[in-house]
Amino acid sequence: MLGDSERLCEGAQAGDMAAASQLIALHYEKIFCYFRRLSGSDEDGEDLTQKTFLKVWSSINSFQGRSSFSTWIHGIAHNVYVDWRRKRSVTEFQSADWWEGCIAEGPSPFEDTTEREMARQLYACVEQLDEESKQAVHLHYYQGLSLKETAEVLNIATSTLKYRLREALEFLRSQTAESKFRTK
Amino acid sequence: MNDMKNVEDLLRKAPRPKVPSGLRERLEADVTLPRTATNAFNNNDWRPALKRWLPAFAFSVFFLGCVVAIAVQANLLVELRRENWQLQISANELEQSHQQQAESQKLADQTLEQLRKDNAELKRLQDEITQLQQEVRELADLRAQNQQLTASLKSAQAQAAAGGPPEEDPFKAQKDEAQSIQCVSNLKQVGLAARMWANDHGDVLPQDFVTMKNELNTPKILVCPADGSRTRARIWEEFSPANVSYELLAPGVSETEPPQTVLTRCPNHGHVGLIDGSVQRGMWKRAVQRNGRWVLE
Repeated sequence: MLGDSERLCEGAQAGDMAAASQLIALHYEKIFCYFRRLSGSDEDGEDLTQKTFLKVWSSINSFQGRSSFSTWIHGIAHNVYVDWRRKRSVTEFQSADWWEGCIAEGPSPFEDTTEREMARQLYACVEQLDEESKQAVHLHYYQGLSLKETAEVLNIATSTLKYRLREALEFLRSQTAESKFRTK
Repeated sequence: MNDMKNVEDLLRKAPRPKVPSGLRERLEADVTLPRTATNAFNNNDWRPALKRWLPAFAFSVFFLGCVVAIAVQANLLVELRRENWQLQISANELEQSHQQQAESQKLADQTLEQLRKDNAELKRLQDEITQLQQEVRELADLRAQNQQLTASLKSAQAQAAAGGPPEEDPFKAQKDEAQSIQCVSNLKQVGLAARMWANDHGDVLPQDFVTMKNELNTPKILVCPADGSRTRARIWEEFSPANVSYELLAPGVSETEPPQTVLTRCPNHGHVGLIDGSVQRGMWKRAVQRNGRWVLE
């Protein structure tokens, strides 16, 4: 059974511009957020998002529905990010201040200030993870992909992904516990 | 454990960065969808498409050729099978016709043989019919003769009943002749026996028949066959004068008497036996008595 994105993709494959516009409307925010969290600037996020959609349109006919459209476009985005990162040799991390501002701008999902502070520290710690673990956390938790979809995007086995995520969570839990201890 | 859960919850609650304005429009402006198949064919540059589809096209042509070849061969095979089937049917029919012809020939031979047998039987029956017809004709003749004889018998019986002379026996003459000859033979044996006895007894003939019984051997020859009143004695112990038909007319005479001297006589036939041993048939009527002796003139 085909979802909305898959039907729109079929329309885009047939040359339907309206379907392409609807695909953009459905996915461009998530893709931009993915790049923005990783790249560290809005300009890079926009640029990578544009590159991603250009690749989407050039290879739209290669989409055969073996996975969901969201998984497919995240795979393209991941490859675009890897290329970009290889060329740029990016080493700087997303700063905790950016996460603070990001949290302050939108409607807060946190219950109290303590949780918000803890979230801020947690997100900053994510930036300290190794690249593979960071990609897994971003795709699974931030982008909301399932374990299977994340594994497909990263082109790894689901068991490998679970291992990486467990390792990442252990690291984050230990980091946040240290922060809590220092704060007290 | 709860810490891990809290960490996961917080990660899932990660806030979304603010999307710059105008990004969607720029993205929509950059959309360059690939041409559809119809548009591709309308384009004058058809060589890339041909290059892309050439392997598939070549394989399709090859596959289609194989299919056509297989179809043609299958069609030929079906035709050959049909022809083979028809030939087999024709061969079977020919074999059946040969068998029927052989059976017909055999039947004709049997019929001809039967006709020959019937013809032979018919001919045999015709011969039998001819023979039977001839026998029927002979039977008719025999019936006619039988009726004639029956009528003669009836007339003879009627004549006998009316007191007329009895009919003569047609075999009586032969019977009488035979008895006469037998009688002559008897007389010859008696004369021979008498002469034999005389040779042993001084040339004197015997006095009676019993005297020369050793020379006669059997008393049966002493009865004339025509003498129905006397019976023959089988042996000499049974012999008596009643068993003699002949008369001894010269008992005890010498052999030196004239040869016309009568020795024996048959009163039934008139035959006479002379002392020289000969027998004269029916000559008794010429016998005369001289000096106490009967002699033939």
